[in-house]
Amino acid sequence: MKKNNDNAVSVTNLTKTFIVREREPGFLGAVKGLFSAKTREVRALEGISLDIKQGERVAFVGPNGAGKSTTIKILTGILHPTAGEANVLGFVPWKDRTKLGYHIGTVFGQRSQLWYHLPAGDTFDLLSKVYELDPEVYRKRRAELVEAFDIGDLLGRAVRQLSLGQRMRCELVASLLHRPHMLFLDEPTIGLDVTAKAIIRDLVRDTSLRDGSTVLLTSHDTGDMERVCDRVIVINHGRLLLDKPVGELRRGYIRRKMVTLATVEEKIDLTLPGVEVIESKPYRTVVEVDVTVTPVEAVMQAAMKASRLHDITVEDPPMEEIIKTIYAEAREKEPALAP
Amino acid sequence: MNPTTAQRVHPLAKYAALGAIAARQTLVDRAVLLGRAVFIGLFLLIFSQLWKTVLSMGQRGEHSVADLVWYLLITETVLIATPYLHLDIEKDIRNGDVANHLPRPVSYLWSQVSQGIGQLVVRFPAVALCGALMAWGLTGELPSNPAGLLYALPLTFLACCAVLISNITIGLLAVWIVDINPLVFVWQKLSFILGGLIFPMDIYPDWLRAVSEWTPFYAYLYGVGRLAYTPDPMVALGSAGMLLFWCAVFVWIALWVYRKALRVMTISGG
Repeated sequence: MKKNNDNAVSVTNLTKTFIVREREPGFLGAVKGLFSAKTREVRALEGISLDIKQGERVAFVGPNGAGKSTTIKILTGILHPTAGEANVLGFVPWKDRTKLGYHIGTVFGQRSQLWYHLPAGDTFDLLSKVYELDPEVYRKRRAELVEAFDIGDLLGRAVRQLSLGQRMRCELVASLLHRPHMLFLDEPTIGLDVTAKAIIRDLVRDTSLRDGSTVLLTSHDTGDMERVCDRVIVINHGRLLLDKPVGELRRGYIRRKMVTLATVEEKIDLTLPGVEVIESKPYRTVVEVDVTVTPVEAVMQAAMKASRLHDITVEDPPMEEIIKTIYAEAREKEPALAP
Repeated sequence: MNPTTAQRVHPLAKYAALGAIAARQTLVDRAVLLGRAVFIGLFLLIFSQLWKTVLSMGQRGEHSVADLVWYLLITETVLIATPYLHLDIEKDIRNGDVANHLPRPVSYLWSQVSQGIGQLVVRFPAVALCGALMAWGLTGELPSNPAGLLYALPLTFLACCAVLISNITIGLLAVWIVDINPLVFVWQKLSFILGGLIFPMDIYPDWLRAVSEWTPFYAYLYGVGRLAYTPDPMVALGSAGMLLFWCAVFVWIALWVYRKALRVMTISGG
């Protein structure tokens, strides 16, 4: 690799503008379109800058059309930017796509790289040739990954016979065979059930820790970012809205907490500013607390005065809510960018 | 070359491996293989009956029914055995799967060529063998001078390679025209007419044959089909020359289109 500093990814003022052809609706519009091409500029990225250190696991979050995929495509060399600079593992992706290809792994959750009618092991063998791996190095790496991902008994079955979760484990192994320094994951848990999601998240995190590989993950599932990543970058309308460690994001954006009270008495009366009863059942009450108005401690004290308590639990809102808050704040600051 | 690995694997091995895995998948996907074998059998059955009827009505030409059926076997094998990679490539481009391929250290164009040849290696003998058995069963005889079949065998495979590369080029055009079906329709019809898929070109009017000789269809259909009843080494050499010329032209066009398509995909996202 050419680069010596600690950054796996360095991006400066990356801009991408697409020229989109517009067609008028109806038959007449189609005929007109034959003679005059009306085009429109779509700004997918508006000068984003970011650095990702080697070994970091970063979630790239944003709604549809935010610019996530465009960024990933530029960083993997699939797209050329309109302006700006990017450096991935010492390579300029759009100039050195083939060279960079040896050092990165990609998993696109909705697209498979495995040969459908053949066992996954056949695709692994193929990829060992594609990445020009030494046969002995390949054998060792494959054995190591097969054990770590627990896919030994899947290797003899055709990919079409695997469940989605099993297939995704094989997809990950396929992307890791050449020991990439950087892994790009696009919606790796899409369509998986809760158990399979948990397995995939743990495997990605453990592999990154073990290999020291950098991970850039895009997902709509905030669970992916919480379980896998240390840092979150939120993007919308081609601009970075936020770049923080996951823990700091929680602390900085948690305005509300859910408090569940299991009471000895059938009902409890809690009338406090900023406290709203969400659920009220005999011996169980759930309230949502706006901590900027009333601290949680005050709610707990008031609850203990009002009733004897069997149990009390305090929960953060789901990460989904936090992300919504970030978008809402951005909307307030720049109404023109509202999704 | 990946600097993290020992440099013991020849870069071309990746394309050989792509061809090998495509051949394995074709072998496993028996339904498609069987479908193509059945199709050539049905085709020969229908047209052998047609030729028998035409020739029994006194329309005697210079060819026997057996000559014409074996001619049909060769021309149909070229079109049926060749993988329809244009459809796969169009799908890759339309649904964005091409993004899965581009970050890998392998050329998308040459990987398609390798996979196509891998598929062809399995399909060609299967289709040709089924077709040959059917042709022999239907006519009860080999062509009037069966030595031509020896020339036809390798040249039919070469013709399939020419069609394969043209199919790949047509598939890549999806970057601009999105739906390649109209183009495929026109290309196939030109193949049928100017290539002499069903009728040998020597029963065509002179002016149409003269036009056809300038097209690749003539080279990859009639050019090899005529060997079924023309066991002349010079004719075979001429056919091989034409095929090699058109293969070179198709490769050149495919490379040019691929470079342009790649530029469009990397600038505008396809």
